[in-house]
Amino acid sequence: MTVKEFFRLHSFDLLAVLSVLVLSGSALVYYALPKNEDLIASVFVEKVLLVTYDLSKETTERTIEIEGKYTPMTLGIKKNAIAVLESGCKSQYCVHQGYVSAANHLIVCSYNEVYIALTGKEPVNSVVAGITVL
Amino acid sequence: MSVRKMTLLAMMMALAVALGYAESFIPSFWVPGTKPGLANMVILLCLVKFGFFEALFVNLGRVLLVGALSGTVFQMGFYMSAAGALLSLLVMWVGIRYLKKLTLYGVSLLGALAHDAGQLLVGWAFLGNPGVFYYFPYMALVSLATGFFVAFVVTRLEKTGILKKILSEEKPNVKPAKP
Repeated sequence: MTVKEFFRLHSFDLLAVLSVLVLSGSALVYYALPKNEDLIASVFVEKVLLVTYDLSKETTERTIEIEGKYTPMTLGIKKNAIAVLESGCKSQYCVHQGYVSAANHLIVCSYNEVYIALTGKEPVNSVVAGITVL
Repeated sequence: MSVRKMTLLAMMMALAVALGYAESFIPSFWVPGTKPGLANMVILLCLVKFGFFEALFVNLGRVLLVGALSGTVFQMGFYMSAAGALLSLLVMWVGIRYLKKLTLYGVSLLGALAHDAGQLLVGWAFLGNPGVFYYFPYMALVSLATGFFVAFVVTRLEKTGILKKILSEEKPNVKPAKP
């Protein structure tokens, strides 16, 4: 197959690949842009906001125990960063993600239906009643 | 439905289940939850060789059996897997039927992207936060590689003509008795 034939046969495939590269690349560049570094972590269990932490005020590294839907989980918190240190889930994706320290990032444990949303100044779903800022 | 076709579909489902279950032991790379989509090779092959409903049958069976084997039936991960599988199948079928200018590579890529979208939609429904779509650009980039791999294998399998040979009705090798 010549190069000309290849491009004729796969022109629309290449267009699809190019679209994915451009759109995903643009999103990743946007993610990488420097944002407000003072972060707030909102911890949700089964869609309900459990607790929020103002990570900019954390001075030392500490751990927190929370109850997921099925198993307890251990969170690690330090200045402008949060991680799931232990979880009873099988996949351990949330644990392997390690410390996350950028706005708009998310840690999800699908097994325990827990997610931690990192935001800038304002916590997400701030209309939910019972927000606790520690 | 002929016995031959039914047997082939059952074998394809078994292969899809084996691949899907084996895949659950492969650790994710780069993005949480991303997998090569090995079972999708069987689904794409089934879609090309048989059609939408046969592929749907194999796909639904695969999702249910892999969920049962891994003990995740009716949990969030199961619904994510089911939604991804169904959306992926639907998009690949539309690709094959209506987007004639796409080859299997393009169709497979669209299927992989639809799989990601289906999973994230269910994640959004369960968690109530559209922030799960944050993962989409990462997953889309991984889909480029996995979609290519799936299409490559299916194209190669098609070129061997092995399925065509199996599917072709063989004449019984029995000579009629002379009167």
